[in-house]
Amino acid sequence: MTTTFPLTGYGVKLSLLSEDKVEQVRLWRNHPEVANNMLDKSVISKSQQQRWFNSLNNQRQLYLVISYKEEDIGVIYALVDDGDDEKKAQPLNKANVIAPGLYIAPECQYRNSVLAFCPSLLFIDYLFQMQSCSYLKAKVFSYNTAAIRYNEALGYNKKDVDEDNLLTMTLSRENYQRAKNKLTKVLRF
Amino acid sequence: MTDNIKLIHAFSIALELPEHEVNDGLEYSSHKKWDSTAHMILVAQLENDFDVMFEIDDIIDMSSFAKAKEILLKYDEKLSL
Repeated sequence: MTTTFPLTGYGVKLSLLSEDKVEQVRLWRNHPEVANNMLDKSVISKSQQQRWFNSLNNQRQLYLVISYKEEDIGVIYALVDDGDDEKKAQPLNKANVIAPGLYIAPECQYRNSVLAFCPSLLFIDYLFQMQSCSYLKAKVFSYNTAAIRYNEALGYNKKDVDEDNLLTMTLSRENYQRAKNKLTKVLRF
Repeated sequence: MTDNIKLIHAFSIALELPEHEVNDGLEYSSHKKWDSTAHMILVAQLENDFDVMFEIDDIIDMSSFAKAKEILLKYDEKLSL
């Protein structure tokens, strides 16, 4: 099934990352409040960012800019998780496991607001409805309690913590549906 | 229980804060315990305790203890907050 972007719902819009927004996204990503929660905390240069953007393969990864009331407020993305088998190289729409992620712009007034759930609800709906994955997988630092609580509210279950102090969390369709039913009692769009 | 104490109690439960830390200066941009999940719990707690159903713009706008009072009064002007 072909998807037409942007996705809209829950009051937010998710648009494919475009060249004119690459620099803004780089500035968000380099901000310590965002970078500190990334596995790779290094500062990304303009040229690195441009190379990354040019190499984006929308079959295997999807980067969307989140906007609310015409204001860009963050980024949400999904990558194929091939596990240890790099040879699989499945596209997103055939992957068994997808690893989504999100960050809200560091200076954004909605950063710690309930609004932060809206892009995830829209995106996870999309991933489960349009893709064939059986579950989603997130990796967060075990000290990042806000992200862990956020993921749990979306229905993720905690799994193992690895040697890098990264906690794996997984989300099944069933658990997501239960969590979504609770969240949408408050987020009544 | 007065409405103000009820409101403090709701914030205390949702944000897992002692009641003496709940005051007009409490804002989500400045308090570590006020994250997206706490905000969600807080809205559900307030809707339950004050028997209201907020408009979505009011939910998103509820960015401080003082603002929560202001919004609640929009729904019930008889509240003594």
